[in-house]
Amino acid sequence: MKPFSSLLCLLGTLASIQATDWPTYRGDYSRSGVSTDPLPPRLAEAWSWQSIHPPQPAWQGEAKWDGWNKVFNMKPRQTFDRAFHVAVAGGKVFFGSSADDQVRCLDARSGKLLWTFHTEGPVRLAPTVQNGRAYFGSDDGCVYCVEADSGKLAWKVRATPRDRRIPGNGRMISAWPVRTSIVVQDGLLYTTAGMFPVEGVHLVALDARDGSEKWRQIQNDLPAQGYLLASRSRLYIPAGRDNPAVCDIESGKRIRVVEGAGGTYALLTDDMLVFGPGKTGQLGAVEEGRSDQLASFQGNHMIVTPERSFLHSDTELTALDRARYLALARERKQLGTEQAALNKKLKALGNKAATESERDSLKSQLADLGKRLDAATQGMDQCQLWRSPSSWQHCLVLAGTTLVAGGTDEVAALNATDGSLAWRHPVRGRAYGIAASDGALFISTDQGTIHCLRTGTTQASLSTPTTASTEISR
Amino acid sequence: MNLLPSPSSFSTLALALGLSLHAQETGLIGHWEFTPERTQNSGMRAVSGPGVSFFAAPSVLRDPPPARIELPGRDERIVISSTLDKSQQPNREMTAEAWVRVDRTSKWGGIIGALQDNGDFERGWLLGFVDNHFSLAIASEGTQRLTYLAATSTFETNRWYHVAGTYDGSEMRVFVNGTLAGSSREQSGPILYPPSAPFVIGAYQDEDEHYRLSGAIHEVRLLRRALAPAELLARYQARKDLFPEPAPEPRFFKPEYGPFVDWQDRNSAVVTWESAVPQPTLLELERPGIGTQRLGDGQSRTRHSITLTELEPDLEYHYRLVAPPEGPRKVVSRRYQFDTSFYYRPAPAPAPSPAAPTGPAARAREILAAAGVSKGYALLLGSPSAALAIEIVRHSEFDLILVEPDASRIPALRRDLDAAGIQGIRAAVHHAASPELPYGDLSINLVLVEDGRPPFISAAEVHRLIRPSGGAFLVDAAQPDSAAWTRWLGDSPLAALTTGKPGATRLAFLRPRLAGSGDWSHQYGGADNSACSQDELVKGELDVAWWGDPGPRPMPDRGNRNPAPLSVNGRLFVQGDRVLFGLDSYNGAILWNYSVPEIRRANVTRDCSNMSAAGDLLFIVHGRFCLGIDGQTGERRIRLAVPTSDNQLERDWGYIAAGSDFIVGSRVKRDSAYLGDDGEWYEEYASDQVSRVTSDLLFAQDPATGKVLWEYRGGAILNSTITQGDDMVFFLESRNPAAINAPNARLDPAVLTEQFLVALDRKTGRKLWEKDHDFSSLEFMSYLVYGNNSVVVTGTDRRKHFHTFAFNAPSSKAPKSGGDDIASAIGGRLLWSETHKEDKGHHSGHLQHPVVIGDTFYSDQRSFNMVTGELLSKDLPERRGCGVMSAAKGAIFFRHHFHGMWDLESDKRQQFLGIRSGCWLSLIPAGGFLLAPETSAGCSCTHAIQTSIGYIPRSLTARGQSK
Repeated sequence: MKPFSSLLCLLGTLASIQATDWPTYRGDYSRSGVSTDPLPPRLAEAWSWQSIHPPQPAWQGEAKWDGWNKVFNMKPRQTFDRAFHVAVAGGKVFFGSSADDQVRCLDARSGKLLWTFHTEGPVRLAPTVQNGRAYFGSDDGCVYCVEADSGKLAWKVRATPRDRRIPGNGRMISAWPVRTSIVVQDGLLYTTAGMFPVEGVHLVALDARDGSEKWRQIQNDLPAQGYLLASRSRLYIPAGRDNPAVCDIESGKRIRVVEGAGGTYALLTDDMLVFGPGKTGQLGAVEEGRSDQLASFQGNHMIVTPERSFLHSDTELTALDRARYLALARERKQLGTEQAALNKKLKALGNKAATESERDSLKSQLADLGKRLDAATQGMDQCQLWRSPSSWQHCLVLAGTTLVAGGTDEVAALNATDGSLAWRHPVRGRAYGIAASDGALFISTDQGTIHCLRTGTTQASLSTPTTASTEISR
Repeated sequence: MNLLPSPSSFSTLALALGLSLHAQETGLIGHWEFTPERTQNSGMRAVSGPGVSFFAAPSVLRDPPPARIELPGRDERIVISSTLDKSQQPNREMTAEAWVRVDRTSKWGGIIGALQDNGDFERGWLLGFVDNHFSLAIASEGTQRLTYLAATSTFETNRWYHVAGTYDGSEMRVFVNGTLAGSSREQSGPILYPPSAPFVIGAYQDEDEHYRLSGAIHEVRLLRRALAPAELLARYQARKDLFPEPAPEPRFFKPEYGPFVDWQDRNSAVVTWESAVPQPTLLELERPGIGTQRLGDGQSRTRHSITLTELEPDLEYHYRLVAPPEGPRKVVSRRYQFDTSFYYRPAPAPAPSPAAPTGPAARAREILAAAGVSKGYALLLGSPSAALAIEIVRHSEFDLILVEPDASRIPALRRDLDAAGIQGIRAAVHHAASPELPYGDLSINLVLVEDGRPPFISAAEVHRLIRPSGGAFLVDAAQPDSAAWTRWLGDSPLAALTTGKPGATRLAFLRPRLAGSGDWSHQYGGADNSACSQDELVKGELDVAWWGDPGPRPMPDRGNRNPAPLSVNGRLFVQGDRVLFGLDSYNGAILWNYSVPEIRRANVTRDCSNMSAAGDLLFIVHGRFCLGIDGQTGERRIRLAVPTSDNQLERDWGYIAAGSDFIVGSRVKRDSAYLGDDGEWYEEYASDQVSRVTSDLLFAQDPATGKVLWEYRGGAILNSTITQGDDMVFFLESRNPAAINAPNARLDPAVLTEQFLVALDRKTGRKLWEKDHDFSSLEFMSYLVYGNNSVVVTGTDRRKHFHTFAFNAPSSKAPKSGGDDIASAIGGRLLWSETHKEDKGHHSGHLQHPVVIGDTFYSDQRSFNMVTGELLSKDLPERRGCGVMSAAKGAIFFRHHFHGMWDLESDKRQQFLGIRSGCWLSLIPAGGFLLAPETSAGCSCTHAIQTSIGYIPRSLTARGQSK
C-alpha cells in the first residue's frame, strides 16, 4: 500500500523499486499518476472487460463557445467519471460503474470476475483499497466498505443525516450524492456528500473500521465533485467547475479556496497544488499556504518527479527541468509583484512636472524590471528538456521510466528520458484512465472497456517507435 | 530591365513550389505552404522553419487549385507553438506575408501572429484584419502598446489576396496585392513580446480572445527583415494568376419548411424538409474524418426525407440542402449542424417481446395504456417482479425503481435485471422498509402496485410522491380487495381512485394540477408582459427538486438576450441553440428534443419571443409558419401560415401569443429577427443593437382551423411592446414613413418620433383607442405591460435614464372612465410618468424589464403603485448579473452572482450558490416549482455547476408541511 505519493520514494531518480499496488485513483492521494514499477519492454493485451453500457458521466461538457470572449472548444472541467477508473491492489482490480450501480472486482491476471457489489445509485469514482478493504461512495448518498477478498459488506453509512432522493443527472439519486472519492488515512476515512450549497455539502471523517462519524463540516458555498487529494495535514476538495478548497485534515475546517480557472483535474506535489484545466486547457500551480497562483501551464495534465515535470497538452508532451523552472517562476512572480507596485506608484504621480525626475527614476526601474522579467521568462522557456508531439491527450501516467498517454482508440508509451515513442496499442474508445501496477497497465475507456496489458502472454508484441521527439538545445 | 520571369512563364513552377524558391533567403523564420503532401499526423511540415499542429482536423486540399487549408471558422486551428519561443520570432524588423482568402469578416481576424492584447497589457504582433480591412498590429518598446494599422482599402470576401505587413524598426506598412495600403510611424524599436502567447496561423488568439479565420490560406511566410515594396510587388505579380476569381456566389436555398432532425435511435436520425416547388433536392452530409456524402433519390417532390444512419455518438455533423443548379450557380442552403451528443433518450432495453395476449409483456402494455404515461420516473411497489419490471422498461422510457421491503428478495431481482441488461441504467432495486419513502415530493410519474394489495406505505405517502398534472397511481389487480383498499385509502386524496377505463379492472388515480399554481406561457409570464406567472405557491424556502440535462452544451451563448423558457401544464419548454426540448417540470425528465436549425431568435429586448404555450401545445415560430407542437411527445401537430392576403409574400411570422382557443400573431419582413450568432450582448447604444423589430400586420387565428379571425394594419408595430390583457391588445406603432419603409423592418433609434399607443379589441381586432405620445426618450428599448386597467410604457434613453409612462386602459368589460379628452375617456389618458437614472449601474441595468405583481410595478431598483405612480421603495435586491427579474405572486427571482430570490412576505433575499442563469429571463416560477433551465452557457466564470434545475417550495413538501 502506498496511498501517499511514490515520489517520496524516488529520491531523485526514475529508477524502479519493488512492485507496488495502485490502490486509489492515479495511484495515491497526491493523484500523482506515478508507479515505480517499471514496464516490461513489450506488452500485450492480457484481457479486457466490457460493460454492457458505457459510462454515464454526470456532465456532458462545456458550452460550444464563449461568445463574448470568442473562446471555442472550451475544456470540460468535470471529467472525473468518463471512464470506469480502477484501483489495483493485492492482484485484484476494483472499479465502480455509473451505468449499473455496481462495484466489481476482477482478478488482475486473468480478468475473471471475482465478485460484484450493488449500490442504489451510480458509482462514479474509483474505489480506494486499503488494509484488505475497498471503500467507495455512490450517488445513493452512502459510503460503503466491503471486504476486498469477498465483496462482503463490512459497513455502510449514509453520509448525510437525511435520505432524500430526487432526480439528478437522469437518475433517482440522493440529493447529497457522494461525488468525491474516498481518502483513508491513519484510520480515518474522508469524503463528501452533496452538490448544491443550498442543500449543504457535507465533508465528513469516519472511522474506517466501522464508519462511525468523527467529525462533519458543512459547506454552504461550494459543491464537492472529483477526486479528493490529501497530504498529512490537508484535504483538497475539488469543486466541479470551480476551484478546489483546502481544508484542515484534523478538523475539516476550511483554510482557503485557491485561485484559478477551475476544474476537477488536480495533482498535489510536495509543495504545491496543480489543477485545471480551466476553460482553455490551463493548469495553475498554487504553493502550499497561498491562494494565488505561482505559475500556469498550457496543458491538461502533469506528472511530477523530483527532477522533472511532464506537461501534457492536446498536442504535445513536454519535459521540464522542474527545480529550475520553479525557481524562475518564483523569481518572475516576485518581479511581477515589484512591477505592479512600481506601476502603481507611477500612476499615482500623474503627469505633473514636479514629479518628472521621480517618474523617470520609476520608469528606469520598470525598464530594468522588464528586462529581468524577460530574462526569467526566457529562462523558463529554456527549462524544456524535450518536447514530443502527442495526439494522446486524455490522460498520462508514469510507470518506471515510461510515460503512458491515453488517446482516442489508442494508448502510447514514451520514454521519459527523451520523449521518444516506445510503442502504441489500440484500445476501444477514449482512454481516460490508466493505472499501472506490478508491470501491468489497466486502461479504462469511455466505452466501458478495461484493457489489461502485461507481459508474459502469447499475444503479439506491440508496435515499435515511429517518430522521435525534439531535443531542446540550450 | 525586369529580371523577374513573366507571370505566365513563372506561374506553373511557382504554384508547385510556392515561395520555396526563396526558402533560404536571408532572415527567413518560417515558410508554411498548405499542401496535402506536407501534412503528417495531425499537422504539417513547413517548407522552412517549425512545423504546425492542426486542431479539429481542418481540410488541406489541392483541388481545385490553389492548394490550401480550408478554415470554416469554427474550431479548426493551426498552431505553430502554444508557447512563445523568441527564437522563432522577429526582433526589430519583420515581414509577414500570406496568400489568404477571407470568407467572413469579423471584428478581429488573424492570419499569423503571436500577441497578447489584454487591457493595458499589449505585446507582440499580428498580420490579420479588422472588419474588412487587412491589418498589421505591432507593439514595440517605443510605445509598449499595440498599433493596429489597417489598410485603407477594403477586401472582398471569398477572394484571394496577397497580404503583407512589414516593420523596419520605425515604420509599419501594410501591403495588399503588392500595393502599399497603409503606413504608420507610431511604433519604434524592437518588438515587445509577452511572457507567453500562442504562435498561430489563421486566428487572432491571445489569453482571453480567440477569433478564428473563416476562409482559406495557401501559404504564409515570416522574415526577420522588412521587404521592400518592390520585392512585395514582384512576389504578388509573379503569382497572382494562380489564384482564381471567386466562383459565382451560390444561390441561397431556403427550405419552405424545416429542416428538422428527429432521432430514430442512438445512431440514426431522419432529416425532413420541404421545398416550395417540387424539385429533387439532396442532402450533403459532412461525415467527420470520412468526407461528404450526397444523399437523396433525385425524385422531384416538395416533401423530402432522408434517414441518416451510422451516426457516431458525440460528434458534430454538418449538412447542406442542395437544389438543382441554376446555370453555373449552385443552389444550396446554409450549412446546418446537428450534434449527436444531444441524444437524451434512455438506454435501450432488449427488444420488446412479441405481442403475446398474456404474460408480463401484455400486462406491461396494458398497464402503460391505463396509466397514460410512459416517460419519467416510475415506482413499482407490491412485491415487484423482475419479469414485469423488464417488460415495463421495454415498453416505456421510464426510469423504474422497484421498491422492495424484503431484503432477501433483492439479490435475485438485481440478478434478473442485470441479465436483462437494464440494472441501474433503466431499473434499480431499492430496499425500503420505512413507511416514508425517500423520494422527492411530486417527482414520480407513475406509482404502480403490482400485486393488487395495498402497499406498505400509506395513501398519503403515495399521493406525496405523485407528480401533479397527470401523474398516475395504478393498482394492477384484476379483482382488488375493495375493503382493504377502502381502509388504505381512508380520506386521502387518492380516495378519488377510479377504474382507469370503462370496463377496466385496474384502479387508477390521475393527479390534477396543483391548486394555486401558475403557468409561464409567454416570454414575460403571460401575454400581459407582467413577468409574473401568478403562481401562489413558489415562495418561502426552496429545496432542489431535480437537476440534469440540458446542460450548457446545446444552449445558445448566455449573452444573446434569448427567448425565455416556458412552462405550462407541468411541462417545461426550452429553446437551445436551434435545439428544442420538452421536459417534465416536476422531475426534469427530457420528454423529447430535436434539432431545428431554422428556429432561432435573439435580442428579445428589441423583439418578442418566438414561443408561446397553451394547454398541451407549444407554439413556436418557424419562418412564415407557426408550429403547434405536442408538449408531451414533440410531435409537430399544427402548422399555421402567416396571412398574406395582401400579397406580401416575403414575410415571416413575428409575435406569437397563444390563448385557449385563439392565437395572436404578427408579421415581419423576412429575416428581420436578430439571431445572436456572433456572441452579441446587445447592450450598447448602437443601431445594430437597439433597433426594434417591427411588424406590418397583427392578426388573430383559430389554431384549430387556421382561420384568420381578424387583421390589423397600421404603422410599424414594435414587437417588444405587443401586450394583451382583459381581451385587449396593446402596442406601440410608429407611423413615421422611415420606420414603416425600413428595409430590414427594424425601427432605428434615429426614428423614434410619431409613435402611437394603440389598443385593439382582442376578439375583433377593432381599434378601441389610440394615444399620440412622445416616446422618443425610449432609445435603448421599449417595453409595455398591462395590469390594473392600465398600461405602462417604459424604456431608457441613451444616458441610461428610465422613462416610464402609465396610461389608463379600462377593460372593455368595465364601464368607461371619464377623462379630459375624447381619447382618454376611452383609454390612453396619461396617469403618471416618472424618470430616473438607472440605479443598478452595471450589467445591463438600463435594460431591466419591469415586473407587475398585483398593483405594484417593479422596475430597475424601484417599485411604484401601478395606478398612481407613487414611489413605494428604492431598495429592490442588489442584482449584479445581466438577467432580468421574474416573479410569482409571493417572490421575485433574478440573477445576482447566482440564482437569486426575494421572498416578498419575509423580505428575505437569498442566492442559490454555485449556479447562475443567463443574460435575460430564465428563472420561471410555474406549476408550483421554480424552474431554471441552464442558460449560463459559455460563461468563462468558474460557477461550480452548470445544469438545468428545478426547485420545490418547502411548503409543498412533507418536510415543510410537518413544521
